[in-house]
Amino acid sequence: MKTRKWTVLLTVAAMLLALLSACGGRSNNDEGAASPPATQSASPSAGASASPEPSGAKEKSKLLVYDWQTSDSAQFKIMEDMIAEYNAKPDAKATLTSQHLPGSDVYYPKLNASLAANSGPDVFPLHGAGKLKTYSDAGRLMDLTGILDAEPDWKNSFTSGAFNLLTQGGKIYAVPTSFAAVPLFYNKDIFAKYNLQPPQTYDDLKNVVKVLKDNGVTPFAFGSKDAWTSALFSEMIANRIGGDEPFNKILDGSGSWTDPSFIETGKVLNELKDLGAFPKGFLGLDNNAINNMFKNGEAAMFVMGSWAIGNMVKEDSKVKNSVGIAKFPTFPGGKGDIDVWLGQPSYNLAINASTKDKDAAIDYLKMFTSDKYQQRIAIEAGEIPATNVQLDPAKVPAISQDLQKAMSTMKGMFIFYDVGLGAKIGDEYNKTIQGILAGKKVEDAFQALEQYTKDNRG
Amino acid sequence: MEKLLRKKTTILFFTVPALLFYTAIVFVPILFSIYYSFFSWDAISPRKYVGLDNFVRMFTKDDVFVTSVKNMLFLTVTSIVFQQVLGFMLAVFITSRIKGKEFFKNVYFFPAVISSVAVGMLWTFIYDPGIGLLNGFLGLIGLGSLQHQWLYEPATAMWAITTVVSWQYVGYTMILYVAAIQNVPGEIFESARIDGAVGWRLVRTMTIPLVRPIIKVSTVLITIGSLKFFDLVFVMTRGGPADSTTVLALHMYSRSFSQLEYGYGDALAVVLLAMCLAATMIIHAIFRKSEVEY
Repeated sequence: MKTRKWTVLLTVAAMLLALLSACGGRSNNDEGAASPPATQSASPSAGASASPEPSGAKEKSKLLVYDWQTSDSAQFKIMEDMIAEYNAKPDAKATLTSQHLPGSDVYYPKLNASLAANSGPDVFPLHGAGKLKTYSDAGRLMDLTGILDAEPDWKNSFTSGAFNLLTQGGKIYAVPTSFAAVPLFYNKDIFAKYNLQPPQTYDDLKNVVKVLKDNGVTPFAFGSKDAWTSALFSEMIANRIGGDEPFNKILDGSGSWTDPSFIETGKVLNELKDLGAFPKGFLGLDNNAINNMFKNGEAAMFVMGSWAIGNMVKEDSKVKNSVGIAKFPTFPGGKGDIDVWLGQPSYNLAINASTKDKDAAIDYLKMFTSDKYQQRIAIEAGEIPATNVQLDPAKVPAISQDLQKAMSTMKGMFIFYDVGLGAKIGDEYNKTIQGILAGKKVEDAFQALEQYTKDNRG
Repeated sequence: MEKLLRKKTTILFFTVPALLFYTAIVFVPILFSIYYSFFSWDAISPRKYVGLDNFVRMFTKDDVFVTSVKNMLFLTVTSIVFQQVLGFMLAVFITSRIKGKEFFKNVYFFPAVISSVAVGMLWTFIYDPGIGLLNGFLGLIGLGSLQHQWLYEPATAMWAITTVVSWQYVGYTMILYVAAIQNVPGEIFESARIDGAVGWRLVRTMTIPLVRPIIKVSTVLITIGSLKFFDLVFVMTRGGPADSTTVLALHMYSRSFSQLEYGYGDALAVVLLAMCLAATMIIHAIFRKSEVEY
């Protein structure tokens, strides 16, 4: 009898061990930080591995920099060049090392886990508004207000309003390095072939979809395996239908997800799905897949942030010279204006409040926003720079120039829902849209989101 | 030596270090986890005590929790059935007098040594609706009507996943049975054959009763492996479409790390732990009832 008890105990013990290691393996070798139960016990060792810095006077400190770009992107290369240049400087205050964690589905979990274990990076990118608020509220970010005010030349180099979404309680917590806006990209070759015009209204859009569908062309490069890519699309629809008000009310706590404009958005998504506007198997297509789909000329339209331009203008792109920019169409009876854009500062660098070398971290921020690298970000990656840098029009991709032309009549801007709402509710919104596309009833899905939002408003 | 090993101090000397180590990395974190499950905590801000609120929310408001428990049970039951039946049959096949048994043993065991991420990627391609082998094959033999978006239709996704799980681990179950069967002295089978037990009868009256302890062990292993299952689901579907393939461990992961609800994630972990404990007890009880002595 006694041995049996031991068998049970041992089995249970083995199982518990396996349970812990199961989540540990997921997050890149940082086993302790990865599983919530182990967080506490892991932090001393994690701290220990970071702290034994030789305190010799001339010894350079080591600075860890996080990033979320994929290794084949222009942004990745620019950043690596920057780090190499910095480390080669004889008077550099520190040695920079980078860690790339591509995709926000991977990036944020890793960032959170390492911050929780107090072994986080010294400098890391963040999305603005609600996403940033989580970290600033927790006291994890260095207040940059004083530093920027002390260096007016640097502060004034940024475009106006650049810090709006990076400020919490009057304090600036991050520096933008690029902006993003969401147009409707279309493939000019395909549109010309079937005699189509970029859609101005939803009816136009349905007609375009029908013509493309009849000719066996996939209308949209679209997927929902990464929930945020489908959510982005839905936010354009929601804004055109309901205008800015419904979402602003959600943000200030007075609105509801059961607002008719959100329900209608879900129904429009279903209508487009039924019309065949989305590729076959779109539930299983992630961000990479749909970017490549558009880049390879396999789909006629693409709703994505301007950060995707870098991929479209690459050497191996089949649409290098044939991408057109349109504004997302309006809806009959909709309150949203065609000149209202979805956009935000897209890559913002924050400094860890407990960084080992504040000066070196600021150097890195300055380098990222220097003319040299802002130009490269605009020219090679096709992104909208964060500063008032002078650009040679001959070098900036035509797509980016078209985008800026289209945006010149901008009347307003709204923010990505998941960024505005922060991790909890923002992620839940993305998942709600993913669920609707997979067949969940629209009303039920938004009702559940409303409930979750009520329960989790902090 | 015998005497030395029987001394209490010697036993302590050998077991205490391991026990301490184990306590530090397993039991202490579990206690922390239970403690944190009573808090609302995002891991980077101060904790807020909320009592049983996390558990109340889980059982009353969290649809995904219900789905994930259902999927977990589905995975457990199908894994036990597939892996036990196939694993045992393969073991009987391999221990019979066929040529090239070493070769087959390696072939069947091979998937178990591949990293789960690789297995997940491999099968994601096989299931791919556009370029996948499975749909391609179905189209080739004129069964195009059976083509599906295997991983992305809620109706087929869980079956697609459980197939891969069984494919990956059946070799492992098989090895356990092979070892058990080979442990039985050859004369026992020999005399059974002389007594006229051949084929299915030999398996039913001799092999199965003789490997009974392994049936229990492998059932426990498969059950616990299925309950805490995570990697393949994460790689292949990330719980989608619309959470229809989420399992509890994955739900725990996304709540803790993506949505920054560590407290809630810990509450989920505690429930998962309780379920694993309960499952072990139940299996234990079932096998105890039917234990036979030889």
